[in-house]
Amino acid sequence: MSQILFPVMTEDAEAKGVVVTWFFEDGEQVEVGDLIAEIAMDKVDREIKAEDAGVLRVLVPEEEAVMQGAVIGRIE
Amino acid sequence: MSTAPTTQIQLPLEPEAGRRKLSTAKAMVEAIAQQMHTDEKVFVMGEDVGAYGGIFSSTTGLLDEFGPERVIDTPISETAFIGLGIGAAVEGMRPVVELMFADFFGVCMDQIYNHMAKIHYESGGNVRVPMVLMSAAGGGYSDGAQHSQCLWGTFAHLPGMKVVVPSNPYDAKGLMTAAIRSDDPVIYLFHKGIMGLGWMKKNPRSIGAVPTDAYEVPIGKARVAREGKDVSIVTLSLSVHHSLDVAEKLASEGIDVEVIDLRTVVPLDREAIVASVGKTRRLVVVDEDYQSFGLSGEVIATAAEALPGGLKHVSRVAVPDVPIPYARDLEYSVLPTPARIEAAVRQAVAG
Repeated sequence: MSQILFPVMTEDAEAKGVVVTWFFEDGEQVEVGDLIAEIAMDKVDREIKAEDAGVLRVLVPEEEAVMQGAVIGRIE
Repeated sequence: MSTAPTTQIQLPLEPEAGRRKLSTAKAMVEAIAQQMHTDEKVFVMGEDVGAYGGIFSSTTGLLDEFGPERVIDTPISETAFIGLGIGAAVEGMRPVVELMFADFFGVCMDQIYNHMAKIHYESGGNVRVPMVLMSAAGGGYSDGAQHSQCLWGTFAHLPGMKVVVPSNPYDAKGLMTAAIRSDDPVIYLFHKGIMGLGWMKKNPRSIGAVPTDAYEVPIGKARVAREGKDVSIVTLSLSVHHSLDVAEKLASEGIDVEVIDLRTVVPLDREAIVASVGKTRRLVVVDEDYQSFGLSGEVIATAAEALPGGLKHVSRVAVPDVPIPYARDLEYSVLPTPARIEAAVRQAVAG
């Protein structure tokens, strides 16, 4: 199992971003290297790719504000 | 020189979509990048296509991958850089040029329709213009009358250019690959509402499965997006999404809607239109372009010419002939919304 973290993109510890898109739904199988999410903070987008194979668990829905460094999902 | 083709043209096969999903914007970028890798003659040019990555993310990451000699930011000078693209194409390059908004065609129309569209004709086919002119189209996000038009009917009216209009990630990649490989000038119009961008209104159908390898969606071939027997909606681009939503809603009431995604405006897949309408006998055309003198009338004429007396219902849901309003309520009163499409389908099956 691995955790999917919202990347740290600024030195501002209070800064929040959003998950723009989940490319797989909760419960879907993902493989290493799959593009699983796109996140954004202050108009900067970043892609998140799967580091493990497994079943994706979505913990933070799209468009919900989230702190950088927070756990936004898991791969089980 | 014979003008008759000696062999039947074989359309490329469309591969299975697979499990990997992309947004429409990423699918377009992937198609461009793959063709840049396989053909050094392909390059990209336009306003903010470099560091910015295209204001609707149609070129994101290409500058980092290919550098400033192949991904060229231009000044605000559409006539100059589209003319530059045409010249490069005539000399054997394969430019992908972005006109930031389709609405801006006015300042560069001479280059587009007198040169890009006509050089191959005027030279008897001896000089080809293998250029892609891509541009953002469509409204729905309060960007006003000069940034919200579709205008595919305008480009389609002028002979000499292919005009493709994808509605989803799969078609966006396949049509871009086909457009770059084509020896003809191709206008590639992408609706901002199908790109899958976080800052636009999200649309679930703007994320979809896309094959990893390069493939072509054949230019000129429509797709049956949903099979049905009661009424045909012939449509394209973002309106495909709305039409599918309406079809799914009405299915629970026993109204069986067929949705045809044209995918290409020129050449128009008239066979697909006639096949569908010949089956359902009821036609609703949904088009986000202006209603009069355009695509919706052409689709209806196609059905009427092929099926004289065979139509029980014909109507269209298009933009009444006014500029697109800025105010949200006014804008949504002219756009082909799901509510307007649903009302038209109900009227079609009632008659």
